[in-house]
Amino acid sequence: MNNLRFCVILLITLMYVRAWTQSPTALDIDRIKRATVFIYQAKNVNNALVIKCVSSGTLISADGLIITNAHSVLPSDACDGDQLIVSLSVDLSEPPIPKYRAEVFSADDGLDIAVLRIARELDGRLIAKGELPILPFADIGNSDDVAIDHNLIVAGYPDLGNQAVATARGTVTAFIAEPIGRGPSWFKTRAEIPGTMSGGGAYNSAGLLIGIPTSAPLGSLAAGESCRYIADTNGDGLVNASDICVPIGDFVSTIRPIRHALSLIRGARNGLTAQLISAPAETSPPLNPPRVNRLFFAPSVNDGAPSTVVGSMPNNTKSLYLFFDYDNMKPQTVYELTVSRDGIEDTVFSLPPVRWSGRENGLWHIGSREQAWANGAYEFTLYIDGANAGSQRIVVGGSADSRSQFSDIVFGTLDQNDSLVGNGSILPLGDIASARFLYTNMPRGIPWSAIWYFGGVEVARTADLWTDASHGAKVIRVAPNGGLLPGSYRLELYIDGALSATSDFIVSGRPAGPLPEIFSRLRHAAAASPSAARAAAPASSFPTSIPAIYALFDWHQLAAGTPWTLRWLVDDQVFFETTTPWLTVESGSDFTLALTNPPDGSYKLQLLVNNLKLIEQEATVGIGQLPIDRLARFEGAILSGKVYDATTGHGIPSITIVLISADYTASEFEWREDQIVALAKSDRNGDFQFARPLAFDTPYSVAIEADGYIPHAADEFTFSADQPFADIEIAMVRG
Amino acid sequence: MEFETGRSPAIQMSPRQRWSIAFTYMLIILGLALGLNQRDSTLNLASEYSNLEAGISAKYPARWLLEETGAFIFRVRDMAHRGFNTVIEVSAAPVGSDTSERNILDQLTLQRAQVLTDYTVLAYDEFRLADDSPAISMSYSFVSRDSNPFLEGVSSIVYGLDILTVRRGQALIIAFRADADIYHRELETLRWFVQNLEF
Amino acid sequence: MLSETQIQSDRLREEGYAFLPVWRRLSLQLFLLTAAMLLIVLLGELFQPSLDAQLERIVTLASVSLPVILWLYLSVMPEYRVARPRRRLIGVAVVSALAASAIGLPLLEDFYRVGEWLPLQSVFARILGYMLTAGAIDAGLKFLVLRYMIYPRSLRVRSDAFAYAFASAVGYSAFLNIALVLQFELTMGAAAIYLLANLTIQLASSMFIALGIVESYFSDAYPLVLPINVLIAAMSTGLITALVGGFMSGSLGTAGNTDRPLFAFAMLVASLVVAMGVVYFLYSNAERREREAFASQWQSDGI
Repeated sequence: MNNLRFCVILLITLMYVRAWTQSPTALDIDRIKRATVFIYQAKNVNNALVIKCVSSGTLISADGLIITNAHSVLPSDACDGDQLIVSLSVDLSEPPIPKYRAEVFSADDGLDIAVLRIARELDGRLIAKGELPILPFADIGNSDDVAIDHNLIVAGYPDLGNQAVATARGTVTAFIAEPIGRGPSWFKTRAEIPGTMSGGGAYNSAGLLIGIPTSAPLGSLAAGESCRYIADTNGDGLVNASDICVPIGDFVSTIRPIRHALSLIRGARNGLTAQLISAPAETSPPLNPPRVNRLFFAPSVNDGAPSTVVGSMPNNTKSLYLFFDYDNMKPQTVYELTVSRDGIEDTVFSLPPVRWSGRENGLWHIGSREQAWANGAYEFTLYIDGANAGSQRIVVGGSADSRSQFSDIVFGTLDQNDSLVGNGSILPLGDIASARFLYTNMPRGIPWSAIWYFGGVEVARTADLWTDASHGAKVIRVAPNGGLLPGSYRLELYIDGALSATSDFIVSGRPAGPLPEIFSRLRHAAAASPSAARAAAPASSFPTSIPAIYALFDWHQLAAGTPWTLRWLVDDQVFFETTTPWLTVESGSDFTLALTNPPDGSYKLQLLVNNLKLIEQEATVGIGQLPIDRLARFEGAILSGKVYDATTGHGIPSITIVLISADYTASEFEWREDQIVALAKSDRNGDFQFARPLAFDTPYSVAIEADGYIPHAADEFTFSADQPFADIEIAMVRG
Repeated sequence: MEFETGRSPAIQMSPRQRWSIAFTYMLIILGLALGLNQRDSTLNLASEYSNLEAGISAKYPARWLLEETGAFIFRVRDMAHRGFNTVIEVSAAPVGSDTSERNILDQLTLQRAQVLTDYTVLAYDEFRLADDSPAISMSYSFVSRDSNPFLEGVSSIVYGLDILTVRRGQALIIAFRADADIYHRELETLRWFVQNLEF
Repeated sequence: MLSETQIQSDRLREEGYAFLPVWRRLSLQLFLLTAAMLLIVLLGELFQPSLDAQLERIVTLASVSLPVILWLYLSVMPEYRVARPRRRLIGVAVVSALAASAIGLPLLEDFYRVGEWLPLQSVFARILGYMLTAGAIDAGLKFLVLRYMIYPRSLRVRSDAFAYAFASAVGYSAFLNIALVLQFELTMGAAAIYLLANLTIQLASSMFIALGIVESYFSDAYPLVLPINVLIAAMSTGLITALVGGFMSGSLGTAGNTDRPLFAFAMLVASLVVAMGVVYFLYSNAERREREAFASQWQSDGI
């Protein structure tokens, strides 16, 4: 029996050891590191490049797309550089070496995500299309699959470019939710991530990129630990506090899930840039300082609105959100939330300084769900640009009380049967707006009131004593003088003077069924210019290599400042999405959008308000399907090695190694391009590396011919999946 | 005990001996000549290229890599050479009624200056094609470096020569580039290539 | 190693001869040389990564001088102890080396530029190519040296031709080896192989030339015998030069490849044995025929 037990334990141990040694993670680390870049944002000052900001980044395509934080690459007050220098880890044990210049392809300031494209050599020469060598890159994973306690590997550069690329391991400790789309807006981790690793990559245990470690250095912190003086920028011969320091930020504990970057990545990979031609020029940023008010808590969120307003939560609370109104916010605004429980900071639910990802004003929430909140007295404090902007307290613990409560407000119009119809948050123009809400534990005679706002100004108020049952649903209505004007409305419900429920809705468009008609005549056209597009006939299919396709639509009663969303998909995947306030006249026609140099594909344009899709239109270019990118995933064996002279033992420089397609043997190779999979050339030490990964289990052939040496020709150059890296030595014999 | 037979040194050689020495000289000379012939036939071994669409046929050195995808009609590269691989590239460019040959070369210069390190035009000259028709040539130099950022690539000084001729409303550009060290020797290959180019 | 007694007895024997015997000394030198080269190759294979570069350089330079030292000690110096020494050995070696330096190597590398086109050809094309270039140049130059320095004035016995041919091979290969060592920083093992290869190529070639000279001069053979021997000399050069690289070069696979100096060494030793064996067989056959002819003439003269 003992022997049997011993055998079982031994077997399990051996299996564990075998599984550990075969785990691809240990090997993938090198690839992750190679795909991690260091980025300098620099400014040309008197013909010298002065470093302004630094960050890590991750190569996400073979042709030099890099994903990183926007705050350190886009020009701003703190980072006012105009050049982006990309350094690569040539030797993984050494600091990175500047190799290229990049430019911003697309960015989202608020999400703090930027996609860069390597465009020039370090000396400023343009890199011609196809001339950039195939670079190692990280495969994109699915951040929706990440769960609490999942392992994370974070890669980046732990210092100002004077240390080798590093990785930190940790776990996902919490999800933070904000109103920026589906899924969590942040992963929290306790991994030790220095500030300069911000912008790098967070990977799951399969080595797939699932997030971007993100923290925003506060612009007001101009010195100290978060800012380093590394160069004599004022030319006084000294490096001291009178020079410009490079902000490095504090330790990073937040990771932006990659889901929020997918549309930017897709757009960049396909070279797609959408332009809102009819949109007015950028409005000037708000002059008043940012502020927040009306802080309150809700146990859950319905379409961005609080389900109800609470002052305390019972035991086993797993979902809690702080709501607040905000104003005068900019994408560059840095906000921070600290959560303390019984006076001690709770790092799990706190949000370190990050960029503001909302609009200029509106209702915001931050919180978490499916995570246990320990009992205690919590205090939530908001900081805007480092200054305390407001706080709110809530107690978690005790039994679920039976307080009177309003919840789940939805808006609509009443039909002939007095039933509420509509979509819940958008109403067409009319005379009356109705709201239905649920009520619980409402004793008769308790005072309650409803206040309606339009554009922040109170337009109607009802105050009464409760006469209905204790539980149920109630419909109330408002009929402002002159009818409902287009714009944003808010309803606040109070019980005994305390806010119990609140929600916002939009009035816009003409009545037309369940959804108002805000947008109409959405169509595509091909033309030489936007003005010609307005006169062109609509079309739904376009030839390959068309320089631009235009999309046009009419709009009706859409008030200025109303947020609307433009979403563009290619082959049913979003490549462009933006939500901005409507900035032009209330009604009009031929709002024009342009998509330049679209590759073959099926393009769908959707227009949304309050996350409700109001209209969509599809058009196809060429064969109606994106070209297959054989390098979309970095799968296969990396073949590298050294070619040396057998006579001297020294590496042979500039020797070409030819990898021949599996369709041909070496003896059939006739030096035709179509027979070649890849070429590699040895460097001055004889080292070579095929930039393109070799497909697993594919019988390639190899040919090496060099003047003065006996050639090599070999077939069956096959690598299996358990051999993702091959480093070989090739002896060349003089002939 | 070793036994060796001997004879007195003979001052006069027999006719056979004289003939055998003469034959040996002839054999050596023949061998060297055949060696030279083998060298030339190996170095001049050619592959053929033809492109009916572009109306071009050419011969190029055997074992040079033929490529047809890119901003050219075709190009061939000597991949066995260590250092910058000697390349001959044939491309076409549209020509307008007001376009001069010099305009096209200047356009090439502007494009190349954007992407080639230290691109310098050295001289313009006349060039005679195989059918004795005139063409214009532009010689230039630049620095080439293997672009793999993860390797310690070696830079090479490259000399180039563009031969441009305008026919049937389009400009044909034969671009030749070789390592500066072997450029003048490799020019023979270009001349041979141009002699065998039909368009 | 040779014992003192053995050397003494050899010396006593030589002093009794009119001409210094060639073959045994030649065999001894080749044996010692191949043994030394094998030792170096094995040392190189075993300790290659950890060897000090300077030590390697010293061993390489010593390897270059070893054939010359052995030849001087075992072939040249004993000549002065016999009654009728071969006085032009050093001269032949030096002129051969100068011919290699002034004509042979420049012609091969700068005019024929064999490094640029021959290594990339098939094995048969390489054999033919090296035969018509390196083979023709080497054989031609060595034939010219022998023709104008020893033929026919210094030819007294058949072995004279082989002794001078050996001197020519040593001189010619010595220069090639020096050039090789100066041009490249050879590894110890590679140096041993290439030095042995040069000597083998030159020795095989020289021996066939010597055989042709012997047959032409001593047997008054048909006029084509000498050129055929020179042709065989050139062929041997082409064959060994082409094959030694192939044997040295390991086949490429997914694990890469390495050089195979032991394969090359075995091939060189085999070439050496075959070439020397063939030449010695033909030489001894000619000697036997002449002795028999001499004996029958003696008897017919009634002496």
